[in-house]
Amino acid sequence: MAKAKRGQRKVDGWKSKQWYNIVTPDMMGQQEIGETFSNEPEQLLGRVIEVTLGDLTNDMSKYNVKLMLKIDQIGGDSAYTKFIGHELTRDYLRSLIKRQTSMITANLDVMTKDGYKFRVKPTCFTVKRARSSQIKAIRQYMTSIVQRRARESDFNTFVQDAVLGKLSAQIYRDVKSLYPLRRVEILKSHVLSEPSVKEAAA
Amino acid sequence: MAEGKWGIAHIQASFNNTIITITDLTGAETIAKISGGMVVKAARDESSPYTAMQMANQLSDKLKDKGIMGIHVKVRAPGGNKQRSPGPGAQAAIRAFARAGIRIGRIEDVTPIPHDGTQSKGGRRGRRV
Repeated sequence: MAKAKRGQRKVDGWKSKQWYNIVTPDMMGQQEIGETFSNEPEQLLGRVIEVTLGDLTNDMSKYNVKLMLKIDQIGGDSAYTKFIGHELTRDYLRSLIKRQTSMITANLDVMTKDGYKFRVKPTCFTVKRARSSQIKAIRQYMTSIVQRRARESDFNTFVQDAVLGKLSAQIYRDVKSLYPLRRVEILKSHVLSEPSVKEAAA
Repeated sequence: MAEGKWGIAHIQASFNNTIITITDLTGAETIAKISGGMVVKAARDESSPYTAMQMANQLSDKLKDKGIMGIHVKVRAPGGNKQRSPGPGAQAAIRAFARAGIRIGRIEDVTPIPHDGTQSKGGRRGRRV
């Protein structure tokens, strides 16, 4: 009898849970990207969903960028998310790394115009192995470009640039004159903190 | 993304066992789970491809009951300072899911890889058999 009771409770647990649609932030067009479920809506807060850029844009070439979206608001049966970072998929990253070439990564903490602190990892993949002086120069260039770009743009545009590849395209254009490059990617990004003023207002 | 409810299948495949946990897309809620020992009784069979197939079949029945029509797959080997390549159960499980009529979305390798960690067991000169 005890066994039957346990089985029943399990079914009830599943049925009592409610489904919520997960919605992307404004800057990604408020699409519905999937569903999650829970007993109470409060439990949804803080859950992180991974979605590829390819799913959002229907662009086959962008399936190797994963966006991390965190649920921060619930309205009715939809859960609204905010962007907390992105990453390349591991198999794509592995395909970029080759012998006899250099992978030059910078690890930067930048501040956007509207006060978001952001960690980005721009990375250059060269055609041939670069010397350390060249590597240093390239890293310096990347740093200055990313920092300038962050200072000039607000959070939404900066995220779009970083994720959609405009930022890496600019790095590619500018660094190309220093050393032949194969590819430039933003490996990873991560929102460190949001502006405190805005939080107080909201 | 395709219509219908999706989940994530976390497949941890080592050489001693295969563990499949199916969660929702956020990974916060478990939908169903199974391990090799729940299917076979002999410890040496827990990691075999055939066991993985049976596990996947059982799970896909549960998934259909609960109305999940597709899964994204995250494959994981032991990782860390152990081996980085998934065990024999991983591939078999994915195949069995597909044959049982569950849609397969993305397949990704999420083996934990240390940026630099502790020394793996076996000593400096390796395992001497």
